[in-house]
Amino acid sequence: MTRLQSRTVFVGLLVIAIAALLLLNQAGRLEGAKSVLLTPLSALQRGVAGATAGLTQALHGNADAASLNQENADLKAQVAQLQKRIVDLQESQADLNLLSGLLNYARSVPDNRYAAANVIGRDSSPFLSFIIVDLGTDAGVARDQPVVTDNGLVGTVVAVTCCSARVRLITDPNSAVTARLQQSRDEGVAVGRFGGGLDLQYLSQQAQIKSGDLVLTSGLGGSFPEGIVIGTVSAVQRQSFDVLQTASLTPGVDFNRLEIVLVITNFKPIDLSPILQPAPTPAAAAP
Amino acid sequence: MSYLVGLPLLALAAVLQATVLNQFRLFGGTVDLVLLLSLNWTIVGEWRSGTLWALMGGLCLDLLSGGPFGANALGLVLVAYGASLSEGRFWSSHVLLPLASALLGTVLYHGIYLLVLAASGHTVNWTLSLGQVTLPTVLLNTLFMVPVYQFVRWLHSVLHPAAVRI
Repeated sequence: MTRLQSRTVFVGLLVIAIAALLLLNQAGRLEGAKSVLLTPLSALQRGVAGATAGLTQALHGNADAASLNQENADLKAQVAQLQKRIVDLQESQADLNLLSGLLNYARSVPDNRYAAANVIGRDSSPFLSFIIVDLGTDAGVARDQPVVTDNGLVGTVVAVTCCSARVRLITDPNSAVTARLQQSRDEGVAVGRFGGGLDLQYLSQQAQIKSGDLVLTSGLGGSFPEGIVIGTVSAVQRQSFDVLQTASLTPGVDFNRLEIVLVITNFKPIDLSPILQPAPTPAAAAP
Repeated sequence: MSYLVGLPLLALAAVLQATVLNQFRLFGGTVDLVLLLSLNWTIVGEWRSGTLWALMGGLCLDLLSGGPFGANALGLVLVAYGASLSEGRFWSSHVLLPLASALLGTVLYHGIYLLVLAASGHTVNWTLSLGQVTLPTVLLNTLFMVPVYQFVRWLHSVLHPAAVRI
């Protein structure tokens, strides 16, 4: 066997091993191993993030950075609570205008519980929009919990270890959030766009939408609490021959400057999969 | 020996790539430090350990990414294999050739990564991805290739000192 052949065989074996890893990962069989391997990497990442943050703060001459950071996190949590209350009040006002307020008054909305987490990393691939935060299952963080800031919705927890979590941003091309226009109450889906933007899709042609309209989560599907700010409408693409119209959104959150986020730890996403399963056919149901 | 040094070095490089380097973006592109390290280690003549460096670094990147696990590893291993075919002689024969290897390696790595993303069900916008991420990354990687190449050559000379005839 020549050197080239032996090299090709060696790399071929590696490629087969990686392909097996890809398939096992797709089947969800690697979560345990990944969690174990990610723990030391997260610790290293936290150290590097802390070291570089300290360097930045030192450059800015900030002597009491740690206490200010803590105070900043607490204030952001308070602002987020107040922001939520403002949005709730605006939502209630809109409901009154629609003469459906009584039903909504009767509805009990549990107060959100927040856990403030530092952003310690971003996705290693520039093609994906994820962040890594320094709280995990030890702090009550779980998969599918929403992540917000005082400016609006950030994303969803998609993977979690004991002390870190990966969050898919709403600007990721694979993210979709059911949304509602605050003014007109029309509903659509906010879908991430490559490059960090958002599109509001599946709006009917009759939907009344204009630039500057506030877009909130609708809560449909049970994946997010309703009433969280997603962004504002920046442009509307309406074609008379299209069935639906689309709008470009400016996200409420500046994803390039995320430092501290809030995980809503008491939110329980609703699993709709049993309802969405197709009904059994008569042949299958027969004994 | 190179594996003992390589694993922590590549883990640190992957963490730096996911924590610090991606804060400095040119359009959507960032420096692929792990690619540059494994590519250079292959170029300086260590094809087998270069390929394994690519595997280790790729898996570290995959752990820190929400993408399909193994996508980075696959791209980096194939890039290292491509670079190893010349046994290091070609790439070392002129100072500009390592820069060319950075250019070709980045395009191949991103192309494979996007293919795996698309195959695993992710939405891929090829025009924007190649235009806004790959092209700026090619420029950044080419710029950073020179210092990384010098560092890897130094590291190689420390780990594998040349035999001296007495």
